[in-house]
Amino acid sequence: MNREKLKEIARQAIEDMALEARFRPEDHQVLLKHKDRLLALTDELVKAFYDTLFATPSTRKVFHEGERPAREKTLVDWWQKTVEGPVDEEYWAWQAYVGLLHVKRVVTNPMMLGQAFMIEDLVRTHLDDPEVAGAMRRLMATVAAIIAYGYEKAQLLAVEESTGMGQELIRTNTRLGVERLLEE
Amino acid sequence: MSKTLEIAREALQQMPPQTRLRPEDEAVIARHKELLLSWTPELVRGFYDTLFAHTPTRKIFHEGERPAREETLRDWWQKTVEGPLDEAYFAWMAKVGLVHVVRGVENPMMLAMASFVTEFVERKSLEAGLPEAEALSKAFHRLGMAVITHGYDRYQALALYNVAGMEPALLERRGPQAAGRNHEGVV
Repeated sequence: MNREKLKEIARQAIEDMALEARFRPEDHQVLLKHKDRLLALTDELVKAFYDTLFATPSTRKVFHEGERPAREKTLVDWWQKTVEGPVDEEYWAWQAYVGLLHVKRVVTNPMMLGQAFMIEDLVRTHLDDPEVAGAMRRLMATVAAIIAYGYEKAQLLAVEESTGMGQELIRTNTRLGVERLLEE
Repeated sequence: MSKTLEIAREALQQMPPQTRLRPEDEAVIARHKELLLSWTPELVRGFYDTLFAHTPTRKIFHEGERPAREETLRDWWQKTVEGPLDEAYFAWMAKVGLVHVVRGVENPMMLAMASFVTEFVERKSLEAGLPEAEALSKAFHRLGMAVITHGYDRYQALALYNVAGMEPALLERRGPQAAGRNHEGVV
């Protein structure tokens, strides 16, 4: 999937979000203001994140043998880029790509949402500051929304490729199918 | 077992226990029951004012539908605050995911409003000077909306099965292939 398509997925997800819940440029200024303290949390954040995933059978299954160091590196990279920025279209497109990767690795949205909570909670526990709390809440809500949306788009794409049916038609038929399930 | 219950169990089981709603979260909500219920009108007004002020979310509603939707949210808030937050409650949330597919509510819309509710509880708890403000806010954060999202995803997969004749399990295998094929040229 090309960069433009990923940017489009991210844009759509952000546009669907109520303004109050979206990450704002001033939120990133807050992260930059606390950059050193936020980056100092990296090791603890990465350890807690993967300890949690490896301690739960459903999430441990996602990983291959010996994969943990590589995945830890990815999270270090994500945290560093998130704090240092720029949090721009490219950054959000990257989050949409994470949604696609999650389909590939069978990481479901509840798993992702649980970990989004964990990151926000850990940061807020260490930096007890209302400004940081607001910025982190909007950051994780936006990241989670884009990943969840990217996940859904990847599934729709798979059906489109298999059936040759256009996305709009798939969506209409899906809605009708769910209406039938609702009646059951 | 009903399908909604199965989906709710599946969603909760997939979340690491540290991130799920815990008995102590339910207890802190119960301890603040009266106060939380007294916030109902403000929450409901703020929630729908926000949705109606935003074009993509306003489009979801039919003309004159707001009072009925407000009633639904009031009902959800009351059941959430009064509990029990048991399997039946989460099965209901899985069904909300299904209703969201039918109404064209996208996951980003729902996740933004989940964040709205968490922020509301946090702000009101701090304004009220509650000694347990933090625990109460975190309880609502943990309550989260993972079950709704999972309901949405799973029902969509089931419906796609009806549309495309693809088993949900096959869809899950196809999805990875489609995503994997597009590995190049990524960000």
